[in-house]
Formats: sequence, structure tokens, C-alpha cells
Amino acid sequence: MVINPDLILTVLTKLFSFETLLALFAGTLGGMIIGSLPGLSATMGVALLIPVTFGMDPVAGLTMLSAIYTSAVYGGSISAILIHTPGTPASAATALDGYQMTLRGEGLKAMGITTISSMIGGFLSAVALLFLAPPLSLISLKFNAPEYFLIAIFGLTIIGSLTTGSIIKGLSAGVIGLIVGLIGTDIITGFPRYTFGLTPLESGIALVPAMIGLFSLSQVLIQVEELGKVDKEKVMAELKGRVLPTWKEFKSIFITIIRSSILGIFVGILPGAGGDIGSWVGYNEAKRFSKNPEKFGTGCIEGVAAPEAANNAVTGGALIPLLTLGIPGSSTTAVLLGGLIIQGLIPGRELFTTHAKITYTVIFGFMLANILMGICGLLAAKHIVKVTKIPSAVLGPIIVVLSVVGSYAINNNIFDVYVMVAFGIIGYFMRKTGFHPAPVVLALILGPMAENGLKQSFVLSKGNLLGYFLGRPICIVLIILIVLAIASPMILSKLEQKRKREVQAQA
Amino acid sequence: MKKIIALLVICLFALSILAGCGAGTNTPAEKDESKEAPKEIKKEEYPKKGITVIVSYSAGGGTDTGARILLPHVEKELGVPLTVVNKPGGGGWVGWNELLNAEADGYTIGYINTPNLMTGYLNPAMKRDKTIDDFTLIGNHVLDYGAIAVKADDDRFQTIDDLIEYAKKNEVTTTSTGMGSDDHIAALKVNDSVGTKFVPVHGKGASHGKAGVLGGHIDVFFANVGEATVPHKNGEMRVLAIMAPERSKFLPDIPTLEEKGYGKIYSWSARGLAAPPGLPQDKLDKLIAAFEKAMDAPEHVKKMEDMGLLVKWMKGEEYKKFLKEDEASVIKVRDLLGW
Amino acid sequence: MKRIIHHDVYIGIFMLLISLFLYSMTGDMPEGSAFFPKIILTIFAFFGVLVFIQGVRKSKVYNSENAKKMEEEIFSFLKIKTPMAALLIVLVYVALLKILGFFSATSLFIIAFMYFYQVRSIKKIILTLIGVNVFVYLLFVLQLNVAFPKGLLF
Repeated sequence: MVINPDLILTVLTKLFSFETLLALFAGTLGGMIIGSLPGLSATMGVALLIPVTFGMDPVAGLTMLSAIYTSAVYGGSISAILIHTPGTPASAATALDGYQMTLRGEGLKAMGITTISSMIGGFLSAVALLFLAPPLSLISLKFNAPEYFLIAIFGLTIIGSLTTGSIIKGLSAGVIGLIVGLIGTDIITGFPRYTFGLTPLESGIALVPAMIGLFSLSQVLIQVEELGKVDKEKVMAELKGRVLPTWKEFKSIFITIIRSSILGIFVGILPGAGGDIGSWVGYNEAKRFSKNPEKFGTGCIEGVAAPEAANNAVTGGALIPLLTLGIPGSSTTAVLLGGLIIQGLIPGRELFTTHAKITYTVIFGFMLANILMGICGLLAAKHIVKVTKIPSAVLGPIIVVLSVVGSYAINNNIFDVYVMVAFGIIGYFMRKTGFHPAPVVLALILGPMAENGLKQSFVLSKGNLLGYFLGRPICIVLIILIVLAIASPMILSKLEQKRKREVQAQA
Repeated sequence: MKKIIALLVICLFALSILAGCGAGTNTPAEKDESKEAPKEIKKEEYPKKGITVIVSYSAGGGTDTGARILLPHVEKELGVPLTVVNKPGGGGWVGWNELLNAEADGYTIGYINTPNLMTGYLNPAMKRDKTIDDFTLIGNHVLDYGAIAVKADDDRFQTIDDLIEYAKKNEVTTTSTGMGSDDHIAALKVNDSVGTKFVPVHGKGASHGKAGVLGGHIDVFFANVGEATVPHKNGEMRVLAIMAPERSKFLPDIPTLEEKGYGKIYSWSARGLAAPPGLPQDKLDKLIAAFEKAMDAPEHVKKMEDMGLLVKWMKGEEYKKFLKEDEASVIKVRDLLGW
Repeated sequence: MKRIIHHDVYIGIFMLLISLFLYSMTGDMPEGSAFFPKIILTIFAFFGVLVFIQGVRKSKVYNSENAKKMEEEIFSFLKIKTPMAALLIVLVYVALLKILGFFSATSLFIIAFMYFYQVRSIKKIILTLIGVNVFVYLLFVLQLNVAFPKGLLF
């Protein structure tokens, strides 16, 4: 890709116009707010704001939408960390370690780590979008049904390592997610499965209401238990530490951030896998590569940095196939496609030739949005973190109302509110009895992906399924990864036992 | 807490300023007219207040985008705001049920997408008792005919004849946007009349299929002209034929299946407007008149053409006949669908 | 001493029953659709059995001398009376949404929930009430055009 000086000049003039900068600022701030509210995901934020961009200049409108996209993904983590209510599905993984840090009084530090990781992840993805869009978009075409099936299976292997405590219960929670994912019309046969005659169920259980219920509502109910107990203040009172991590801490998570960013960009360019999957992949790989994986889930900074860098890296990644091929890389970019078309910008080569000025300005704007998001986040963190000081008596009802609003606003349907409450109840009882809601969410995302991928592979293979899989190089790599993922903990623990025996023998 | 609220207020303020200033700088004429017009209308006549337009698909989707391009022009005619409410789910039936159950006072109308609407009730597993006859029809907006395309560098098929000859002897995979979708039905129709062996790979949405064909995983792109035109012009795909009574003005060089001698094989996806059952005739007439005029607005036609979509206004008996034909064509392939 | 049964025993049985029930429904499904549920439900039933066995083992420990060594608290509905009451308030709120309309139901809910939380300061309740309603109205109704259920009141 050749970018001539003339183009850069035009791009910069366009970018630094008053309207564009205002759009950028409003998009970044608005995205952070939308993201941090439970139930308002990045997808919804973009969908709801597309009509607002109608009357705007294409550059301003699209810059605003892309700024909303990336900062909503970041904003979702704020509430995940501070009040255990992931604002978007992409930040469910962040809640694991982030909330533990808050409970320890390190909420501010967690915010800082999140902000820096998100900023770096998002920025790197914007760089990839700017320089590597064409080659990366070709990679995305190499993936199809068989690869998606295997990626889903690979993702499901995370469940075993996801939860602390009983492995059986962790896996059971995953299976519950798979069962929930069965609900809805089977696209292959057109049969409505487990819908019990309810039309809204035909399109399946919506992920967002289910997730809000499992995390947010159940959290409110758990908080209620503390009612009347005096020691409540103890947990929330101390807000020690500073926003910026120390140089040593930053060095310790730097590799994790870079790894997660690359993984995130990669997951982003795959059509059909978005930030929700990206964050889990980032989290899991960080855990796999970590020197002390046992710390994950107890509030370690790597566990916050990994999903955060990944989910923001997904944003730029997902824009790559959207802009070059018109194939959205995530559900949010699917909505963004509508925003592009309405501005008369049909994705494809023309975006980089005829409309190059607009396209590059939007990409630069997206880059700037990530930096702006980081600065805003760091400046605001000190104030935002005080949200944990709000007494539960005030915060509780607010979370419930926002959960209701968020579930409703996705499809303008009261049914989703009922779904949210039902999952809130399920989530509460699961947490009380030693199950964890995180595997449910993960399996709910991956289950349908696995099923459709497998069924489509059946058709594509024209009868020879095994041969079809083995004839595809990417599939073979994925199969090896899956085998390693399942076998390596067993092998490691065997080795560990052996080593212990040897040590004992020596002693 | 206070500081957070202040932050929120600032942000909202910024957003609203922006929306306002954006509208002001770019399309002042249009926006102002739509806002001032209501005052000129006499109060006692319909419509007195804003009208809700139910779109059964998400914001940003094809139906939604088309609606938002058309509706400002209808606002001008009616003098009241028309607000899109997206009610996705159930393959569109969440929104359609809502439309059917809404009060027939003319303040709730909605988009109906065919043949998706028909397959929703013709599939016995869905157990629905409402049909196309339950709606009060206003008129058709978009008519998008079916197209058959292959990857640009697919050397096996230079013409549609190559493809069909090959597909008579071999199984060929095609894209489909789901069981009973118009693309699926189109492939079944070709199989039925010409004896080809097209095997649909059901996926979610046209972009899934596009990725499959561009990546060389699926052989043939069965889609609509609106989806195939851009990849064709970008040189990513070659459209081999369209399934329409006449050639498309977006792809004037591409033959129809009919002129190639494969019989009257047509396929389309259409979307139009409808109201709940029992809408009084005078209100219906008013709506029809307003939409009829809005359809011709040059800006609307231009924008739709940029998207590769054919605006085809039909009303009254013509529209009804068209929808019944649509229904009949799904019923015809019922056996093939296994219903 | 009363014999303690660990909650895992009930959960295991419950999981088995659920999988049996859902499995029985696969009978109506076409072959292609029934395949995946059958596999998943079989796995779920298997885990149900494992959880049941775990529960029986844990119950034995509880009833033996080593009871104090167990860290896990036994779940009982008696201990969670307050959350259940809170849940009831939420359920009533959600049920009222369609009847009263969003904003009136929300206002009632906030009052009820905060009262339940033993907040007696009227000023605090009113401030929260107004704050939430105004925020939701500004952001969702004015800015994002979300059409909330209207109901009898507002």
C-alpha cells in the first residue's frame, strides 16, 4: 500500500476539522459510557447511533461510530472490574480477575492496567488495519465451516481451566451453556428447537440479556446477602494504589499485551468471531504461557491485561475484512456495514481508491480514538473508581434498572427482560452452589458456532468428512492445538507427580 | 457519583450538539422541512401524530437501511415523523406478530419481507396461524431478483451453461441464507426444472456465503442482484445469470436464465409495507398515496440504486397478486423442502 | 443429630431430570436437528451422575467426624431469605413494566428496593429516583430512540 504525501495532507486536514474532532471526542466518551452500562454492548451502541450519523458528514459520522466501537469495548471492562457486571460480552473474561482486584482494594490499579492494555491493543489493531489490511483479509477467507468448528472446540477446551474449584462443576456449567445455545431455529433444518411455542425464542437466547442476568443480577442478589452485616464497608473502603502501573509491572505484562493484541487482531479478522471470543482466547493463552497460571482468577494483573488487549485488538481486526471485502468480522462491524452503506460507501476496493480520503481519515480517526480513549480513561479512572464507594443500597437498584433497560433495548422486546431475570436467578443459584457463570457464557457463544460449523462441513465434504478435514492445512494445525490443549495439563501433572516422587525419593 | 453524572451530562450534551450541527451543516433543507411541515396540516385529519414503522430486522441491516432512506420522503408527504422501531427475532416473525397485533389506527405500520414471511408460516414446524392474507397491504418498496455468481478466477465455469452442464453430473455446493430462504428456494427451483445437483450450505446471512465463495470453500453464490453487483464490479466474482423475467439494469450484460432457455425460473426477495388487519380504507388510501409519491423522490431512487437495489412500487391488486404468486412459488417447492 | 444431605445430591438429580426431559423432546425433531442435543444432553446427564456421586461423598464427610474440615458451606433456602425477598421485588418490578409502563414501574421499584435496603432518608431515595429516570430518559429515549413499554401511566 502506497500512501502519498498529498493524501496524508488531505487526511490530516479532514481529521483535524472541528466537526470530526468533536465527533471523535463524543464517540470516545459516549462509547465509554455505553460500554460501561450493563447490557449496552458495542454492537448496540453502534446500532443505536447509526441513525444519529445520517445527517452528518461521512468522515465525522464514521469516525464517531468507530470510536464508539473501540471505546465501548473498553468501557465494558470498567463495570466488569468495579462492580462485577460486564458492560459488554467482550469483557466477561475481565470480570474474573478484575473484580478480585477490586475486592482487594486494587480497583484503581486494575483500571490502569485495563486502560493501558486496551489502548495498546486497539492502537496496534489500527496499525494493522492501516498497513496490513489487504494481506490479512486474504487470511480471513481461508477460514470456513471446518475451521470454525475446530476453533469453537478449541475455545471450549478453555472451560476446563477456567474455573477454580470443582472441575466437574466447571464443565457442567459449560454444558449448561451448550444446552442454552440449542434453543432457537436450527438454520440447517428450519426446525424450532426448545422454543415451547414462543416466537422470540426462535432466534435463540440473546447473549446480552443472558450475560447480564448471569453476572449483574446475580451479583446484586449476592450483595443483598450482606444486608445487615456490618463488615461490608471493610471490603470497599480502601482504594489504594495509583492508576499507572509501575515500570516493573508494565514490563511483566508487556509480552502478554503484545501476544493478546496479535491474537485479538487475528480473531477479529475472522468473520463470525468477535470480541467476546477474542477476550477469552487472550485470557486463556496468557494463562497457558504464564509462569504462575494458578494465580489467574485470584486477581492478577496479567489476567486483566490479557483479555483487555485482545478485545480491543479485535475491533481493528474486525474492520479489516469489512472494509476490504464487505464481510464483517464481528457482530458490531456487521452493524457498521449499514452505517457505511447509508453514507454511500460500499466496502471493497473503491474504498481505498475512489474514497481513499474518507477511508484513510476514518482509519486515522480510529487510531486517534484509541489514544484518546486511553487518555480519557486514565484521567477519569480516579473518579470512576469511586463507584465502588457508592453504597449497595443505591448501586443495587441502579444496576437492576440498567440491566432491565439494557436487555430491553437490544431488540425492543420485553421478552429479553424476562430472559435476563431468569438467567439472574439461574446465575445466583449456580454461584451459591459452586458453579461459575463464566463457562455458561463462553459455551453459549461457542456452541452454535460448533454445531453449524460441523453441519456445514458435512455438506461441504460431500460425504468424506474426515478426509475433508485432513485435507485442509489450517484444520490440521487446529486439531494439533486441540489435542495439545487437552493433553498438556494431564502430561504436565504426570510430570509434576513424577518430579515430586523423585524429590521425595531423594529426600 | 456527582462527577460521574456530570460526565454523563457533558457527553450527552456533546452528542446532541453534534447530531444537531451535523444535520444543520449538511442537509438543512430536508431536516427543516420535515420538522416544520406538521404545523401546516389540519389537526383533525389523519395523521395527527407520529407513525411507528416496525422493521423486523436489526438496525443497520438491509431492510433497516432501505427504510431509513425512504421514510424521510414519506414524512414530507404525511407531515408527521415516521419512527423506525427495530424488532428483530424469530426470522422476522417477532416484528410481524407485533404488527398484526397492533391497533389498526394507522399509527403502526411495518415492513414485510417476502418470501421469508411465507416460509415462516408454510413451515409446519413453526405452527403459525397467521398468513400474508392477515395483513393490510400498503405497497411494495424493493424487489431484488436472484443472481447466480462464481468466484472470479473459477475457471470451471465461464458461462451459466458450463455451470449447469457440470452441475447436472456433479454435486455443486451453493450458498444459502438458511433453510427456506429465497436463495435456498432458488437453488431448489433450478434443481427441479433443469435437473442439476445443487446442494445448499445453509449459513447465517449473505456475508457468510460471500466469504465462503471468495475463499473457494463453496462453489456457487446464490444470492440477490443487490448482493452480487458490488463483488462483480470489483472483479471478485462473476455473475453468470440472473433469475428474473428481464435483465437487470445494474448488470445489463448478464443474461437471465429464461433467455438462456432454462424456463421461467424466477427468484426474488422483496420488501414492502403493510399495516395491521382492519385498517380503515381512508387511512390506507392516504398512506398509499404518500408512499407512492415518496417512491419517486430522485434522492431516494439514487441512493437505492447506489446500493444496487431496484425500487419497484406496486400497490393494491397488483401487489396482492404479486404476493400470492410469491406464496404459490414457495408452496410449489414444499415437497423439496420436506414440509 | 440430623442427617445432613449435601446440596450436590439434589443438583445431580435435578440435572438428570432436566436432561431426561429435554432428551424426550428430541423425538419430535428432524434427524439433523436432534443429533447435537442428544450428544450434549447425554454429556449433561453424565455430569449429573458425577455431581450426584460427589454430593453423596460430601454428605458422608459432613456426617462423619471430619465435618469441620469441610470449607464449603451447605446451601439452604433458609440462609438466603433476604436475597429471595429482593428477587421477589425484582420479579414484581418486571411484571409491572408492561402494566404500568417503564418509568412508573421503575420509580416504584427504586422506592421499594431502597426501602428494603433499609434506606430511610427520603432525600436519598428521591435523588436516586430522579437521577435514574432522568438519565435513562435523556440517553435512551431522547438520544437513542428506544421505545419503552408505555402501560397505563407513563
